[in-house]
Amino acid sequence: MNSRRSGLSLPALFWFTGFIFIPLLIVLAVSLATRGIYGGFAWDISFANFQRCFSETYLGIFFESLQVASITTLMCAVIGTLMAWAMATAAPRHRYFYVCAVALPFLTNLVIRIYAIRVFVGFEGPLQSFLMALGIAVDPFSFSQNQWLVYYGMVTTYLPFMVLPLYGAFEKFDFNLVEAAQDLGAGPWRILFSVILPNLKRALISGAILVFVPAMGEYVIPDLLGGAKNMLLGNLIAEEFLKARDWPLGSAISILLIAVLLLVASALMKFGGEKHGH
Amino acid sequence: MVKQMLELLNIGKSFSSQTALKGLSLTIKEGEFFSLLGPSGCGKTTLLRIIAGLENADHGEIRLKGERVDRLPAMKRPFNMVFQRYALFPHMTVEQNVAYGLKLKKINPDEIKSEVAKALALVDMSSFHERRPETLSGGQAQRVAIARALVNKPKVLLLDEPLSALDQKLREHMQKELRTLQRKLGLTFVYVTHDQDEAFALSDRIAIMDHGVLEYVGSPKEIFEVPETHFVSTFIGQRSHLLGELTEVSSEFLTLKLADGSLVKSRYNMPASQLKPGMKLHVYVRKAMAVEAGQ
Repeated sequence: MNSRRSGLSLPALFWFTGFIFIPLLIVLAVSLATRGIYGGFAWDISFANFQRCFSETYLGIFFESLQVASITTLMCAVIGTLMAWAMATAAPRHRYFYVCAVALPFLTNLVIRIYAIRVFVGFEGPLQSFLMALGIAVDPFSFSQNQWLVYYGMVTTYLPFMVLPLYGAFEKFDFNLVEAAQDLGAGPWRILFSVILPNLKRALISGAILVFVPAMGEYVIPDLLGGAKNMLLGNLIAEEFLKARDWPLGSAISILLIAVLLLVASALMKFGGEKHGH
Repeated sequence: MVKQMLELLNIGKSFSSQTALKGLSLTIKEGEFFSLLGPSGCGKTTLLRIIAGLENADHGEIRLKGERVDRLPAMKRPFNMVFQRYALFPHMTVEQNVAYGLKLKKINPDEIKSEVAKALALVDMSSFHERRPETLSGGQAQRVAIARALVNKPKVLLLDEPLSALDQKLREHMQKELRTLQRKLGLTFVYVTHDQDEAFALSDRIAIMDHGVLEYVGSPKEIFEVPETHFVSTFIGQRSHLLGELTEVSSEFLTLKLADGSLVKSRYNMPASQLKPGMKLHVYVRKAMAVEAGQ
């Protein structure tokens, strides 16, 4: 029985080792190497790359990414809760349609979706033409590349990852509890915070991890919607590998990012794994 | 003289598809164990939810000792409800569940603690105060739900088929306890059930409902002895009614010939002048009362 179970997990183990663990070890090794003169790297082992990560510029980019990922997660949580609530309390025959609608964007590639936003708000795009026809003047460039657009792109991209677990939780939620709280004298806000949210805690935490982790490393969205002024960690890593050709530094930043994400995810899971308290 | 506790005046409610309650009036006395009895879909739960304020009536008034309460939201009504499926908060302990209503009233923590302990002792659940609802059996969960409602000292306790999820043996045991509890506290209970044995065993008075209409209001004894309408008789008597042709009437009894030719002698509750030989009548076996066929 035991040996059979471990036999079944072999493919997964092989996958994890071959495609995740070994590549990560390579990244870790490269992060300890030294940048080569012609763009490659040499095996002069040192921690210098990690020291370089803590420069003011890079720390600035790190905190910028942290802010964007946190605000994205928070906005997804608020919008996602309301969406999942509406979906789960809709007539059963409509629910299936709503779930499909939430998953629909995944049928299109992320880059294409983001590019479509860029074209829509961009120079001579439909939105700008419409505003101009109304006589509202806009600066075509700051209008199509700014931080608000980055947030818009991030939230619309990651919202399904928040909505789906919350939808599951709302479907299982016993709405009699709301009536019981009402009957015992609780007002709407009280009910939200003392009855509804505690029962959604696990779903909110899974959603937060599913949104925060990829958002922290996102680079397509800030690249296409944010312009050169909005550089995040994902862009920085891509730059180091593709443009600066500094693989060791790019690897060091990646390793630190992975460490931070593991920390955040495990902290969130610990918070959610606790016996629900009050 | 027993005072009027709760008055319902002309309560009406219609859902988009059908009328749930058709202008229903009812007076419930102080300290009374009052049951709303009827088949599923008769409107009894809707009526209870309207009293609790969880649903709004289209028209009508609810008065508590003469004062209107129907405009108050559920959270401000001095009633508490025991739900069919307990509706205990799964993320709180038994103690926190029972304390929930008191905490909202900004009562000091020491007092909350002692009140909660008292309420749990009342339903014999003291030793479970740190347990989570998911670790309780159905009967235990319902006791906690009762304590959670009682601790707020409601003027009227509303119970929505509280025992229907329990097995027969436990249900009978809980019926006795509920009755004892209600007597001990002298509290007015409004109890919804579709189980007539339960209603008869527990209640001071019963309102029998069908299709959003009150068919009969009276004590269990009255309902047994004078089943005024065909619905009440069939509902109470279940399969025990017989249809036959009247052959003979005396001052006290009548004789009925059934389809198979057998004769049945019975008391009757209609004026003798209306009884004509040859007419079709129903006879109810439980108390052997005759009611006119087709009524």
